[in-house]
Order: sequence, then structure tokens, then C-alpha cells
Amino acid sequence: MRTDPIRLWLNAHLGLVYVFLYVPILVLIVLSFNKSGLPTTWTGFSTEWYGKLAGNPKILAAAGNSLIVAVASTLISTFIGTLLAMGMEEGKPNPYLDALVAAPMIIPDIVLAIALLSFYTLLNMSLGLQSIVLSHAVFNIAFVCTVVRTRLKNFDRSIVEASIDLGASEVTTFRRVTLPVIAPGVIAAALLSFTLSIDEFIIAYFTAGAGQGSTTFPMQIYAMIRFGVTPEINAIATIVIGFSFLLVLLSQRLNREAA
Amino acid sequence: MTRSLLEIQGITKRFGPVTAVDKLSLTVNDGEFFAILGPSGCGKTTLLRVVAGFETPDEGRVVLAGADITELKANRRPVNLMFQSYALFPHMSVAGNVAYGLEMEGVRGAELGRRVDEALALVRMSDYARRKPGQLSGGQKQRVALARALVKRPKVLLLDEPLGALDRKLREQMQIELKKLQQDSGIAFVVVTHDQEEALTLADRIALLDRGRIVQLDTPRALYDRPASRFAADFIGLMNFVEGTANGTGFTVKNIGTLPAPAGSGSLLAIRPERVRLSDQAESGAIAGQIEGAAFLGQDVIAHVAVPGLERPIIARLAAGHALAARLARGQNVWLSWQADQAVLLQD
Ligand SMILES: Nc1ncnc2c1ncn2[C@@H]1O[C@H](COP(=O)(O)OP(=O)(O)OP(=O)(O)O)[C@@H](O)[C@H]1O
Ligand SMILES: [Mg+2]
Repeated sequence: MRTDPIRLWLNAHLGLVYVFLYVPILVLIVLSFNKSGLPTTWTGFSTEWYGKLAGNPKILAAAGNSLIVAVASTLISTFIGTLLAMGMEEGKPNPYLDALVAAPMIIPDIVLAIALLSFYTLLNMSLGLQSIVLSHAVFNIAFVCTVVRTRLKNFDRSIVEASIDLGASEVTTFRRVTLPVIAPGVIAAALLSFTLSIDEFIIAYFTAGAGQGSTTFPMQIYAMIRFGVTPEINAIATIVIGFSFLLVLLSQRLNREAA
Repeated sequence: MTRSLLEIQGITKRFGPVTAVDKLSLTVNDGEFFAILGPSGCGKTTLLRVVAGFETPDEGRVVLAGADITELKANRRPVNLMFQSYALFPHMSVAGNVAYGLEMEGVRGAELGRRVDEALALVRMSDYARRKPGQLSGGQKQRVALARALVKRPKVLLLDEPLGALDRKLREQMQIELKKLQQDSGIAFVVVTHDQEEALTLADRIALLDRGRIVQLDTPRALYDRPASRFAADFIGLMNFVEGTANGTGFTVKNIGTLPAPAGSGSLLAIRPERVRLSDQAESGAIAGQIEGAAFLGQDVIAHVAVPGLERPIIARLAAGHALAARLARGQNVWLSWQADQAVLLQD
């Protein structure tokens, strides 16, 4: 077979991109298993740092907080965002409304963080996990709405009428027809919300309040990193990478099944 | 024997400034195959959707089997609508689609399975029960949609352009199947179409619509042979029109003379191409003309005959086996005639 020079160049280019993206991550994963803990010398394989991590109550608490925030804000935003998407697709197209809903995705995090903090202060709301959940829901609703709407764009409205025509109520129609058909979009949106929430730092940092009890995972890592990159951080990062990888695989699989 | 089943009484439906259906009334009988025919945008779909319960009429009532269903919600009406796009549920199998409507009625278990199998057998789709709609051809989807509606045994089945998405050959085949299904099931069908041939083939009666009103409601034969207006005559099949004045025994046309016409009054004479007799011999009372062109259509030959004094040529249709058919040449002199009672007088 004749090798096409353009193909060759493209493949070489693709290889380089992968190297650039993944070598640092690979280094990090390898170092997380390095016995010495030093980035300069390899002294043998060990899971010592993972053990240390499991014994660190601060990290565990922060991870727990992040999970709570991510799950809660994902549930809220998936529910509200999906309904919002359905409402917006049903109504007359309105570019101003679209822009308004999409704004939280575009506004710089730092601005959104300040705005939310001022708003909570104005309302005299006590800050803590609940305020982080709310803040994350704010931007996640925008993402969920956008993802679900793309799914709804290809949604054939006549199947809803067909269901009603066959004797189903509106609730049954939603449960048995609309939801299953848009489910891949809703689940993809939920996964996206979850990942966005779990590594969100700035907004959480601003709206967490003063208490130690509402420290999230990224905030904890940030606190630790001020004293240098410890091998424990490598271990955490490796776990997060594994976790994200699983989520990506899951969402891709769902998308493939839907197609 | 004919018992009225569905009565549409003075229905009006407006969309803003557009009056889609305009004080329309008609009656569909028990077990009837009824066609609603008309050009695009004349309100056919809107009328079906009013009957199915998806549009609320601004005026008028819908009565089904003696009961006023105007206020009844769509999911409670004993009528089913087959959508033009078929609207199959993409995430359910063929069998799941057909079962859905029965499940809504509370049919379960063996009874459900039996009736789904029956319905699929009826449309010859039993072998595809496990497939998803995405894996079916257009004709197969159409049959599944039909089974899904028929399995509910509605009092009336409404079909919106049921064959519109199929190619010509499949369409002709499905027309025969549709007619057979309707006769076997005994369910009244109301089919919307803009294809006049389809309406003529299928229907017991046809309502011809224009701008939301019924122009004529008749059997296919009557609609074809005795159109009541220029619109009806023009919409269905090919028709020759000649302007002039009816004089009681004939039809006087300026510069030509008197043409054969039935008794009556009118300023427009309409005659079907297949009713026009063509001859290469001069005949008394025949109109002289010249062949302008001829087209071979398989079974028939269509000849355009220019007649001096008429703006448009007269079209004649001959069987391909006709003695003249093979030797029609451009510029040839021919004579046209027809029987008085086969022409139709219209008021314009
Ligand atoms: N939901 C709607 N909103 C506004 N106008 C509508 C709506 N539905 C129909 N119309 C208008 O009402 C008129 C009749 O439409 P309808 O769909 O009933 O026509 P149709 O006879 O089914 O045409 P076609 O053969 O093209 O399907 C059209 O002028 C159409 O633009
Ligand atoms: Mg229509």
C-alpha cells in the first residue's frame, strides 16, 4: 500500500498532540506510585501515598463535601434545566431569552462568584455547602439547558401527540415517550454538570463562607499546594483522572447507544 | 343501512388572520371510506386535528355516534389519527409501538400479546415485531403506524396523507391494501390527500375542499363525471374548458359555432379528454382542428388539437389501440366531436 504523505503528516501531528496532552498526566500518575515521593528519583513502586490519603481526614471530608455539592447541584440543575429546555423549545424562538439563559456559561467565573456572594450577603443567607450547591446549580442549569435543547431540536413533536392520541395522559406521555427519547441528552447533561461542579474552584471558594466544614475538594488541594506539590496530591489527582475517565467512557457509551 | 357516524357541524378554525376551516359541515357514515381532497393549505390537516382533538374549533360541533365530543380531550376520543410522518416511537420495538395504545386501555398479559400479534399479522409485519422503527423502510413504517391505530379498534380512523411519503409503485400497492384493510375491519376511514387519483381509487365519497370550505361532496364517479364548478373540474383529472353561452340545445362559441352540450345554462363548457372523439374524416357538426402534438402514455395517446378561434388547444385522449392513434402527425387535419350529454355546463 502506498503511504499518502498528507496522512503521514496528520498522523505525526496527532501523535504529537497526544504526547503533549498525556505525557504530563502520565508522569503524574507514575509519580503517585513513587516510593520516595520525590519527583526527581524513582525508588520503587509503592501505594504508600494512597494509604496516607485514606488516613487524612481533611482530604476525605473535602472529597465528601465535593460529592455532596456535585450530586445536589446536578440533581437540581438537571431537573430545572431539562424543564427549562422543554419550555424554551415549545415557545416562540427568542434570541434574547436564549442569551439570558446562556449567560452564566459565558460570564467569567470570578464575576459570577462575586455577584453570587454579594447576592447572598444581601439576602443575609448563611454561607456553607448549601450556598455552594446553589451557586453551582446556577451555572449548571445553563449547561443542562443547552445540552438538552440540542437533543430536543431533533425531537419529533408528533410522537407526543401520537401518544395522547393512543389514549395516554400527559404525564404518562412524558414518562413513557418524551423522557426516554431525550434521556441520553439529559444523562449527558447530568454528567457534564457533575464534572463541572466537582472541580469548580473559584465560585466555591467565594461562596463557601468562613467555616472549615464547607471546604470542597479543589479548595483543599489548593490549600495543600501552597506548601508544594506533595506526593499525596499526585495520588489524589490520579484518582480524579481515573474517575473522570470513567465518566467520559460512560457518557460516550450512552451517546453511542442513543445513536 | 347507511348510518351516520361522524358529524362535523359548522366547524370554523382560525389561526390569527388565517381561516383554515370555514363553517364546514359533513357527515361520515358507518364503515365508509371517506376522502378529504384539496390543494395544499386548504385546511385538510386542520380539520382532521379538530376531529382528533388536537385543535379546538372556534365554532361548531363534532358529534361521534350521537355523542358530542367537541369538548372531549384527545386521549379520550374513540378516534385515532395516523400521522403523516407516522410518528412511531423510536425507542420502542414494532410490537411495543402497537401494544402502547392497548396498554393505555389496561389490556395486559396474554390478551395484549394476542391482539398485538393479530394486528401485526393483519399488516403482514409479524416478522418485524422486534425491530426498532429506525430499522424499517417507509412502507413498513406506514404499516406499523396503521397497525398501531387499528389495534385500538377506533370508531373512526383518521389518516393524514397516509401514502404521501411512499414512492409511486409502493403507493399503488398500499392503496389496494389500505382499501382491503378498511373493508375487512369495517372501521370508517377518513383519509386526507392532495392526490386526486388516490381519492378516486380509494374513497366511497370525496369531499373536495378549497380554502377551508367544501366545494363539492360526492362519489368519485359523480365528482369526475359531473363536477359542479370549474375548480372541481380542474382539480380532478384533465379537463377541456371552452367559454361561450349555453342556448338550451347547444353551446354557442364565438367564431366557431354551436358545440354539443346538454340542456341547461352556463358560460363554460367542460369536456373530459377521453370523451372527445377524434376523426380524420370531416363530419357534420364536428369541429375542425389541427394536431399540435401527441404524446404516447403507454395505454393511451394524448393529442393536442389546435382549433382556430380557441385560445387553448382541445385535448383528446385515445386508447393506444385506436385506429388513429398510431398515425397522428403534427399539422394533420382532424375533426373533434362529443356526445352532448358527456359535456358539462358550468357557471364559471
Ligand atoms: N398551528 C398553526 N398556526 C398557524 N397557522 C396554521 C397552523 N396550522 C395550519 N395553519 C394554516 O392553516 C391553513 C391550513 O393548513 P393545513 O395544514 O390544514 O393545510 P393542509 O390542507 O393540510 O395542507 P397540506 O396539503 O399542505 O398539508 C394554512 O394556511 C396554514 O398555514
Ligand atoms: Mg396537511
